[in-house]
Amino acid sequence: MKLNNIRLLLRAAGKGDSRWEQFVTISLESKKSNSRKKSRLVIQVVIALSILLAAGSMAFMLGVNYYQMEILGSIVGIDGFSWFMGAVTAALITFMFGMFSGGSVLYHGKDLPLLLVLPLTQRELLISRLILHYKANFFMHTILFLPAVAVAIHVHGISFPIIVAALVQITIAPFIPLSLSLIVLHLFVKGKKHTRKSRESWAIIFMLTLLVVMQGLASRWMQSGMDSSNLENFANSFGIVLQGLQRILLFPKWQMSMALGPHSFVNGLYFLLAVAAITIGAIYLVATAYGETVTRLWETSTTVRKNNGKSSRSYTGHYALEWSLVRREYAIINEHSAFKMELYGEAVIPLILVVVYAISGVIGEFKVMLEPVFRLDTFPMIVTGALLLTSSLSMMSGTSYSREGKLLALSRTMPLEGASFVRGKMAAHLMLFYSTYLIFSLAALAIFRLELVHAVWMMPLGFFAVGSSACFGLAIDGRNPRLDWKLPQQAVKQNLNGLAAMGISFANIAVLAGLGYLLAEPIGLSALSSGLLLVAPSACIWWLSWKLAVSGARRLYQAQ
Amino acid sequence: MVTIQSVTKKYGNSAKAAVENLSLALVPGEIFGFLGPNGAGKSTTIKMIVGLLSQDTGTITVDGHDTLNETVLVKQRIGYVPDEPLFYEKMTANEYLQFICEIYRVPNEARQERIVRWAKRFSLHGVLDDQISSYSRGMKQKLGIVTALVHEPRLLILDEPMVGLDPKSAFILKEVMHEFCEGGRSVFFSTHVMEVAERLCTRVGIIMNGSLIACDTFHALQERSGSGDLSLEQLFLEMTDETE
Repeated sequence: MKLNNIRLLLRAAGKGDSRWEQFVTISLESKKSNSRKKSRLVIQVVIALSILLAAGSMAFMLGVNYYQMEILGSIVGIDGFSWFMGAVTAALITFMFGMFSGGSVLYHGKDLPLLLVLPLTQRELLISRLILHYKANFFMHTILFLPAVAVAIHVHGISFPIIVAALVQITIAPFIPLSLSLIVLHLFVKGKKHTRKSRESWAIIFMLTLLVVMQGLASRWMQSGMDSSNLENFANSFGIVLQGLQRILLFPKWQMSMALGPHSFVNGLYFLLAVAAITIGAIYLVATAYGETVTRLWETSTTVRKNNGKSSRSYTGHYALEWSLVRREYAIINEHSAFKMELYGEAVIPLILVVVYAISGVIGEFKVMLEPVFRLDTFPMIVTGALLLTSSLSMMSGTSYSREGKLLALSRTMPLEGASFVRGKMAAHLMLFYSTYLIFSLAALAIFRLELVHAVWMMPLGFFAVGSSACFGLAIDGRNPRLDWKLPQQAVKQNLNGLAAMGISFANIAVLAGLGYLLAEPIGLSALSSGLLLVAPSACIWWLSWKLAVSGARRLYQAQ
Repeated sequence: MVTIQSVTKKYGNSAKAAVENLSLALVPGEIFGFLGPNGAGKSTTIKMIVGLLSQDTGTITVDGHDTLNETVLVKQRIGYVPDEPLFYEKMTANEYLQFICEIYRVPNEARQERIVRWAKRFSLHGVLDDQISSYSRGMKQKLGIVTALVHEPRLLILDEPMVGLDPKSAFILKEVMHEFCEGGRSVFFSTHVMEVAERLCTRVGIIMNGSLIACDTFHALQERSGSGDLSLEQLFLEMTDETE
């Protein structure tokens, strides 16, 4: 094994893929003018700061939660429980993300066909990929765990064992979830019916559930604030469970004891030995026939799958034009896990949250909190406004053309009017977000025991508001789509068009809310009449947004 | 130089083999043209030689080294130009070629000279410091050829190398293939351009439905057909029609 080869492979894979370059929305090419360079640099700095702000606020939220756990731990007799929970949280989320990055880096890397023909040993290739896998997850693991270190220092003061344990935790602890992700991935890819999509779909479902459960728990903690009586009640109910967890989960227990326990050295040793064992085991498992596995996966991804004579709807069916465009829209979304995570997540997470809140009882507490508002005549309108906000603030249409990337050139060759594309894209948007709005509305009618007659205006109002959100998004993205992305995240998460579209959708809801207020308060109409009257302006706004979207599409699809 | 013995390859659970019981040998100093209709098994054969695919049965050796058991030794001897050029596109061409030179252990003192020489030959000299992502399809193809040549392999394997090349570059490539073989090295390439194969190849092999249906010099194939004035294109069409 030549270490120089590993170094070369790492350097080649890392080329142009730094964190900074991932923030970059539009590349700074030498041909561009200085003023454009400057304005783009400003945009990049703003985006980078926004991301740092978001990471900071997330770290703060985690810190608050860890702090509460530290207090909870002290009530049930576990010193340093924040460290324990920080280790568990970081490990769980790193494990889930490791499933994505591990699959992409180890088995489906776009550069693998290039590397497979080079004179490299399997071991050199595998080790370079494992290091990339570690690199891809190190930052996130650190961000998730650091707040626990801050809490430990705040509560217990700074000490030598805490510093050493924090360093070990940051550098060595990611090996545990990443090794586990390697083992699960190995089992997946060894399975005969394995497909990349099936693996990613399971990982997405598991991760969404995990995130939502964590969010549900976090909301509970944040809601109870620093009130120790609530924590005492919780400790009385769940103290035994927490103590049991602390006994069973050996890794976080050793990590916690390494930092704050009486035998930090011995616990540290146990931890390091166990990490070494699990890491070596995982690498050994993956290393057996790594090259053959990669070759087999590459082979199956490049060959046409036979359908064994079964009829396929996609070959025999006849679809309306717009339906074909809708199917194409979802085909584009399903092509990249980054698109799926972002867009399906936007649509589904609120839905899962409602279920989690209902199960955890938080929704009952909301009802109590909303008691004074509940008696207002305008309550159905307030509920509708909140639901519209949830369903309208999305990146779906604001990044629709951008998601097509270089394939937009193909769309340009299709003998279709711009309006047809807009219809297809709007229908795709409505299918995802208007359907969730309908579910939310029905749930709200049932939970808040609102009169069913309100559905008469809530449904069309939602249709026009969500439709306007789709069209405004298309109008914005159609004027300046971001087509030159290299990483799918750049087309969605780091696309300013999506943010602008969300801003306009927010303004649209604000205008409708203002009109609703005028009708209900100064004029004094009932919620039903105000709601019905609001349908007309919402339809007008939708018509305007439609016109803008179509004109944008016309310009985009015409010869350039 | 290359021996392929009774090689069979199936994809997944497919009942039909992509390559079936294929045997052929490539001698030092020859240019071997591998011809066949779309889906005949040309690319599959090439990918097995370069180590991208593994055969189900049979053996392939390059310079006496087995492609399955001595992969690194085999790959060191091969320069491969794939049907679709693939690079680290965020690198400049120069960075990428340096990377290849390091992987193939090209001596430091020879590196820059070789890179510049081959880049000049294919008119890429002026754009060596540009990012590969800015290259056109044809430029990427030329860079792929330079990449395959820069470490001075014993065997050059090219999968549809003329695709995307302008007439001048195609001419230069043909010259280079000739020169390459003069020192006892060999070229194995697949093509759909019959005129190129006719003029360039020492021998041609015609593969159809995964099986080799002919393998000889152009003149021997003409004689076997009983008509001495048929072009390779006519012979190819005749043979593949018969097999169908």
